[in-house]
Amino acid sequence: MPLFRMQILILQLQTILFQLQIFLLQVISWLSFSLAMVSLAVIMGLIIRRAILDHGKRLAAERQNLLMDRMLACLEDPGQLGTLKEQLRPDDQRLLLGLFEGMIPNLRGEYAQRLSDMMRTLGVMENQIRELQHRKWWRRANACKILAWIRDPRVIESLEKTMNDPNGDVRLEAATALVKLDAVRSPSLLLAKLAEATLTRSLALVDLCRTLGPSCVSEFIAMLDGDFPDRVMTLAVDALGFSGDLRAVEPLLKLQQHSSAEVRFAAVQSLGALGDPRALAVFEKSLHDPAWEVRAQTAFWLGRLGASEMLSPLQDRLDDDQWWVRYRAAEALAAMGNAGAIALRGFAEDVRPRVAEIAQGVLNEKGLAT
Amino acid sequence: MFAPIIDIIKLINAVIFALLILQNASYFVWLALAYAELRRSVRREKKPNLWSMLTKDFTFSISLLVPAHNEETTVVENVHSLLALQYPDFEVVVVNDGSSDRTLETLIEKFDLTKIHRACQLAIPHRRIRGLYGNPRYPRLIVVDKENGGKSDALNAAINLARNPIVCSIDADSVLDADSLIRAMRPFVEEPEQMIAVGGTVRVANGCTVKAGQVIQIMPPRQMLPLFQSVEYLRAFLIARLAWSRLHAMLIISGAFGLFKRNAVIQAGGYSTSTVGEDMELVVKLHRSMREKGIAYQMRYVPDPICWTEAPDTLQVLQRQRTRWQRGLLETLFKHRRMLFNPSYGPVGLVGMPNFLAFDVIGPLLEMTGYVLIPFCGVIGVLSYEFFIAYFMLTFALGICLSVGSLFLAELSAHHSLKPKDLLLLTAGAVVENFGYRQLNNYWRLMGFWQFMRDKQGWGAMPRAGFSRG
Amino acid sequence: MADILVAEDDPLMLRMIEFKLKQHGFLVRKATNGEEALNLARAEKPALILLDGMMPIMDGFETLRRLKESPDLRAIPVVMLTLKGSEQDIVYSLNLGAADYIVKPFHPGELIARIRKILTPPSSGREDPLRRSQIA
Repeated sequence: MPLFRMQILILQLQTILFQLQIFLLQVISWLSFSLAMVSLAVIMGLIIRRAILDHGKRLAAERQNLLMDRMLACLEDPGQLGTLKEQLRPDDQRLLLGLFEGMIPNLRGEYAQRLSDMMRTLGVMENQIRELQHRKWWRRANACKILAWIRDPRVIESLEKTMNDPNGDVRLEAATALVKLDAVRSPSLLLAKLAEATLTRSLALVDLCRTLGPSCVSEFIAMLDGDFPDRVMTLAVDALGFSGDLRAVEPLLKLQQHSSAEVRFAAVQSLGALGDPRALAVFEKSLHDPAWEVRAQTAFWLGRLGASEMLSPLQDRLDDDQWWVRYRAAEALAAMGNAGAIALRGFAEDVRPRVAEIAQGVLNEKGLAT
Repeated sequence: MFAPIIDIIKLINAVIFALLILQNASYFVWLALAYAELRRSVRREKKPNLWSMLTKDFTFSISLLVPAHNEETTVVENVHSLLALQYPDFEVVVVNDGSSDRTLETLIEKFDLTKIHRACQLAIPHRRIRGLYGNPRYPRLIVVDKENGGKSDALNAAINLARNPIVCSIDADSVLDADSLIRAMRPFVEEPEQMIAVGGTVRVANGCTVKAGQVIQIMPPRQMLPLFQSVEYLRAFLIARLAWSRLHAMLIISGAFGLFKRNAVIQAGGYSTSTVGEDMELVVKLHRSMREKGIAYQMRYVPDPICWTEAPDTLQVLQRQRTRWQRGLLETLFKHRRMLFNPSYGPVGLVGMPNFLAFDVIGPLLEMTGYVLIPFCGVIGVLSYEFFIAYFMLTFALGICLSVGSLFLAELSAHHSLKPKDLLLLTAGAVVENFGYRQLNNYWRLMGFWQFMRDKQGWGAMPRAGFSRG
Repeated sequence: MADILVAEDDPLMLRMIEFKLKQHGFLVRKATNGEEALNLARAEKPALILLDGMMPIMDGFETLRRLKESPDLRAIPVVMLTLKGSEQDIVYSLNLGAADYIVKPFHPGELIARIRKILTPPSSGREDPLRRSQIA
């Protein structure tokens, strides 16, 4: 009978399913249990590792103190350097590096130079140049950081090679090192190597360009006419502002027509920082820039420059739609001595509530209220 | 005749079991993600350019927002320690939120403050400000005296008064590591335009030696309750937040220590005054506001800026804290329920919010049901012995495994490394917390759930005073 | 010989400064934070105090303020040696009564020279030539 056979089949299937279920449950139990045991074993292993590491650290600290005393003595009397070098153990290199990294940022002048020369003699430089080829990118980046303190043609040569590193962070470190060593041949080439979306946004690059600025003014000016992405352009503009070089003023004035608000913003900031009176005519237009950030920044710099002929354009901005523009304009007026204070007092009585509010607010803040 | 009931019970058991497996599986995925993210960030943070960041002015300036309500005994020391933080340019905005004790008077006396004025953008409404105080000898300090309006209201007032592009909310009773601001600034430096919020780690300070508002020596708590919380915090931060940060679905930045772009917060409307979980609500609101405006943005969790907080050491206080947290979570989820499973909110809508729903709302409910139902079924003989064992293994053995896993991450991440015997103590805590503390915690969550449901019914009757723009 | 109290939290820097000072014949007392420095200053009354700006527990600026507020310690000259080089920090410290302010990175030789100058009392007989020419 087929029905009977079906029933048997179903029963068999049910038994199999039941057994499978039991089996699965057992697997889950054992798996969970063994995972718990493994995790406990791993953490015990880590605890033991930590204990060993701590012990090693104590030993290393003692050795490092010893090395440091010898190093300090050598810095006073370079004659002892030979004996120190002979007594170095292979695993001392790491300790030496730690000492170097810890000390050098605090020092300058001839003493720092002596320290860095000593490190070169003791083999740190060679080691770190080799480290630039390391498989792990963070090791390469760290090597760049250390080499930035050692002035040597070989260092510069290998750092320039590192500018082709596949990793952006390593290239940034190498570039920073080159800037620190004052060994940048062409800033636009350097920036081209760093022109990677994530990198150009980084503020570290802003800093790098500012440091580079004073020595590369003409290159940066040339970049303003070139066809660069807005972000790279902003870097150049910003660096020029910090260079303090008045040759930059004329080319920066032209940027007020630029399509990118970011570039116009940087141009206002740089012109303000350069503090040249030629900027004032352009600033008057910038006070009406479509981007409020540019308007606020312009008002801010007018206050810094204390340009009293700008009193009336600034007064118009007390009725700007943006609070920051109103505030910066009022603040600029307050910075313009008596005339500005008198004007602000007048506006404190203004019928337009937001004008009166910001004028009164800034008068109170600056202690100019009558 | 009991057959249908038994079938239903069996079905419920199966659902609980399946969810338990799912929950544990996703915890392991998080653990793996957290591990990957931690490796990345440890590498990046290794010897960060703290030196150059301190000396150069390419960091953003920060306004620290410190709401204080009835803290006359601790506020002066806390402000002193905040003023001593290592950062190039920051201001400390202390808001006395209508304290009934002498918080304001103590501040005025100890810092020799006088009344000052500051023009202020009324971007977010808040209760009336009674006065501002400052002292030219402490140019970084400004004290705001305002009418009582709760923590969110105090924070909103501080945001309006803040002059710096980054604001950082800080609990008046927590302690920051001196270098935590610099460490937390790193994502902003790397992504100055898109980064809108960064969260740091909060750890339990009980047991540590705290001197002059700074943690001098790190020790795990010697009491049971804080020890369990210590493990719990490590798990919450080092597993959950690292993993979410990796998935771009971070939904909580602790109110005890979080950095935000001031403009983004203002655009999102500031802290909500009608919820108890204002810190979570703000982050969800930020996600929502950026997504709805279609602006590219990023939020990140950085493990090594550390903020220390005193954990409650009595059951009563802890219960109050946990039920409040649960209520806050539910309020936020309910308020922003349209983001749930909504692909237009990206990973937050698809992963972050559902995850909260599954593990923080439904999870405790099922787990508690399981604790009652499964032993009961075992007793009446409906369940197989194997099911019983598997259930308890999943709950307890894997629970231990995950708690220990967070210690593993802590050991990897720590730039303050723990002593071996302290690590051992924490391991013991990680094992024991699964028996008792975990169940208690779930029970409190259910209480929070219950309170939320009760409040919902009386929603309209909640008294709400009008805000004055002041 | 004059004893100098050095407060510095970086062990490498502390060791280096100690070495340099000893080499020039000074007696060195060490502290690793502001609070320790204050206690040592009270107990030992050193001839000069060298303070790092950023230290745990109590930073150099706060230590300076407390030193200058204390009637029996305010006479001890204090030299600040710190990473913070902003105008605000320098003016603040000098106004509080710091004898000198050195910004890191620094030149160790210069540090010694400045300490020497502070510790050498101005000889009474000699007149400052610049002063006289100004009067004339």
